Amino acid sequence: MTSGLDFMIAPFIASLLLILITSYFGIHVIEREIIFIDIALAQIAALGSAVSLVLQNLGIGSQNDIHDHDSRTFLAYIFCLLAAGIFTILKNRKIKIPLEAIIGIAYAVATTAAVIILDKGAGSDVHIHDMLIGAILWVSWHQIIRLLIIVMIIGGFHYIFRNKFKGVTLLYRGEKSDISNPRLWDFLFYFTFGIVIVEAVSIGGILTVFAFLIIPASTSALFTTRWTQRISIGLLIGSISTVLGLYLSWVMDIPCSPAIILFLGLSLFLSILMKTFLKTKTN
Amino acid sequence: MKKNIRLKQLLLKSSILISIILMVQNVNLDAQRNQERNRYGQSGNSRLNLVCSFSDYASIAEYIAGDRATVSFIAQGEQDPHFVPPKPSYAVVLSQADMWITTGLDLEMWSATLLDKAHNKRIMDGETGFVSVSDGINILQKVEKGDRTEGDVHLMGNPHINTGPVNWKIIARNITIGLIKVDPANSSFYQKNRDDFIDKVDRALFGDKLVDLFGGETLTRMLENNTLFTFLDKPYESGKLIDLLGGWLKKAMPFRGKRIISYHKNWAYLSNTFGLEVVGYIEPKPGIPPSAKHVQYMIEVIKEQNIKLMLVASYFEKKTPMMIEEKTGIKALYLPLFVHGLPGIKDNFDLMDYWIDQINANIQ
Amino acid sequence: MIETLKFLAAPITLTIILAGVLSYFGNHILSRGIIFIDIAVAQIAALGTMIGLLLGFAEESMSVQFISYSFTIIVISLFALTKFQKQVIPQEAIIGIIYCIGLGLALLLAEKIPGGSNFISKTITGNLLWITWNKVLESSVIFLVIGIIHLIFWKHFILISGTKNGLPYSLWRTRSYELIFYISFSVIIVKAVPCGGVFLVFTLLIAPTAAATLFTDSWKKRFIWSWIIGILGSVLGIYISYTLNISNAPAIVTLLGLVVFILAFFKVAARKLLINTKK
Repeated sequence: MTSGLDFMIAPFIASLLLILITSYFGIHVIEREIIFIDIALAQIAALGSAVSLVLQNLGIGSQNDIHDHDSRTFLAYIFCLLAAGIFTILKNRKIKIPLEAIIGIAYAVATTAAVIILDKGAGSDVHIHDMLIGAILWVSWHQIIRLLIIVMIIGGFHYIFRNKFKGVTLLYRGEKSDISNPRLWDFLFYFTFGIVIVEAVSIGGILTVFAFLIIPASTSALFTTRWTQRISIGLLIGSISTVLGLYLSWVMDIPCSPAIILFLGLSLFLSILMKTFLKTKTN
Repeated sequence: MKKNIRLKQLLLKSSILISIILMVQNVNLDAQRNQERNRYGQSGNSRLNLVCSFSDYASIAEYIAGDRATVSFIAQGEQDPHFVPPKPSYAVVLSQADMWITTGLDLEMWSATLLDKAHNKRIMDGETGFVSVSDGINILQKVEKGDRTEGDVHLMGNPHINTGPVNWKIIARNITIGLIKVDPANSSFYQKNRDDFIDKVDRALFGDKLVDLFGGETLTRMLENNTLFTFLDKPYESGKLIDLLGGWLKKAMPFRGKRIISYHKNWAYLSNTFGLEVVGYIEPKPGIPPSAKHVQYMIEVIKEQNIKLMLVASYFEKKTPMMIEEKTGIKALYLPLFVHGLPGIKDNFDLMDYWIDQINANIQ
Repeated sequence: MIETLKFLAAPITLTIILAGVLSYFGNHILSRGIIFIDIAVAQIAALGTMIGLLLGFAEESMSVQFISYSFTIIVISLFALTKFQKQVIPQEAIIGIIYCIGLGLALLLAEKIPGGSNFISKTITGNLLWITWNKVLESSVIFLVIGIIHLIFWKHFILISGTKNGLPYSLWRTRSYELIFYISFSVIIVKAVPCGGVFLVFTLLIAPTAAATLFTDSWKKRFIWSWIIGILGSVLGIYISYTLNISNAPAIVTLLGLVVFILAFFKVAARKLLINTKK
């Protein structure tokens, strides 16, 4: 069992870092009602990787294997930048299409475009599958350090300017907000979010990140509207589910991502029960 | 009020945590059971630990290593070999392995991550513990260097080598070379088992009589050069040599020369050995849907050449093959691709028997 | 050329029918802002199929299909009942949670079933090109039945979809209409996704109506425009896919998607130009 424990330390720390940043972003995502944005951004980033793969095959750009991951990530970030730009421009009062629809269409186009590009341009079967589950059980300390740096930089950035970002999110809900230059902060939001997503998904997989974004933030919405409290509740639920999930995945030999999600879902369910129970009590 | 809620939440969750941990202790047995499911032989301290990517290689390894090793495999018999989701037990198994036995072409892309994180220096590519079983096999459908526009999935050629019995012999040789490097003390033991296995394959393929007369090696060479059947046409005693043919090649005679299609390129080596002509593939690239032109072409080919049979590996979804059946009248035959793909198929010999019987039963 | 047309006739017909049906539903979905509901429904249906297979029934048998439909209807009914006077958790988030947990369960079960990985929504591609006229007829009958149901209740559906905050009727009356709406919707999705694939269905649902929304507000005009855009887009998409030799679903999806983006940008640019020229 000791080998199990030090096997689990790295995944646990990686998960904690993920939860730290996703509990915060998750609240934004739910308030703006752009729920599926992480899946869309992850897919757009994947499109960027696919394009870079094709460019490599065609002989353009660096041929060095060591730079493989980095050049792919570079193009992934560029595509995220583009997407951030598109979303910001199209979040316009005159465009009556809900932003989620734009995100959805971008997602569909990105996925199918990737299929077409890979079909025509590249020879090998790219690991589109891996991205779903992720390989958090095999995360390396190198990846964790990288994630830590990104979380600190972007987390710090968001903390300093938290009022600006909250302000723009309020605008989404149709409420008044006195932020000068909301467009800029909107764009910065999507761009920083995109970077976080690219890193998070490369470690945890699309599904895990999606769950971390949505479920803790939804659960905390049941109890309070204050941001600090919501983040704390999110962290609490997230960490407990991660511990239980990792343990279950080890003991039952199942992939850990679904195990963690199961516990997140369970906590949501329990919270709903608790809230109804409390409500009937106070009545 | 809100503090109250948080406290209650905390209490509730802690109690649930404790009860689940207690519950899960009972479930610990499941993990043990899982980790032993993929093993042959019994665990022991002085045994070698062989880990294979597929059950077919594990079956061959067991013939050769006998009781000197514990053999396990990762991809289940009915799983898609291109896509194997990672589980905790894989990393554990790999970290303790003495040898990693894999195809060596670009089929097991999923193993790269597993090997990376297993941190087992003995089995990395280039070390003595890494065995690439495809070394020396006559690979079909290699792609010429500049020709990527076809968009072939497997650039180094068709990696589904386990469907050709001739390849099993080379796989056995490669595994033996690896075993001798890792455990030189038992060399003669492994070599004897390997020779027994190769002989068993020859007899199963050609039949005893021809093997006794000419020897397996000669017959294999002729089979690979496509000169076997011309050779067998020679007169012998009161008839021809071909009357002495036995084994799988004899059983396969009824469908030798027939035309079929296959869903994916899994069956190249099988069709090559037994004379089936595969005129087309429905989905040559896994995950990428065929274009309208390709579908139209396939429908035309099926109708014009009156193709009656389509081989489909059992890990594919049945929905599309069934629609193809409805549209063209062809019959879809679902075959497991690996050992243990169906209960009762315990080694490669069972697998080949099953394949040939099924094809015979379904071809017209 | 005639051969090609004969070959493409059945697929094109089904695509046109799908485009029509889906763009109708799409208008409601867009107004309610639950864009990803069809992806969630598709995943739940796949999960239902897996449960059926686990229980030992043969693939593609009637029992498995029945279990899949029933499971989907149960889950979607639960969803319909989550409509409240005041939504603390937005409905789209609930859809996300359902999708997420559904996919998680599917991943866990995938190992126990031969070929289990087929039911995890990767790019679940459809087999539109192999469709027979028989299947086209089958699907049309189902769509017709659903169409009649919606003809009866259309006013109520439009009212509920159009109400952003609060409920137009009493809680349980609204929920009953919601149940009818969502159950009929899931039946359409469960029928359409195996044919066209998840992404084609998703795009046909959202893109035409999104494009229509750019230019008009009235429900009637939106219905008509989304029909036109959807049908034209599909036919053009199939033509492009044939000439460029790419699969048909990606072609239609990319085409319709790009159309929406181009129109949206065009509108933004036109507005900017208008403002600038006014100055």
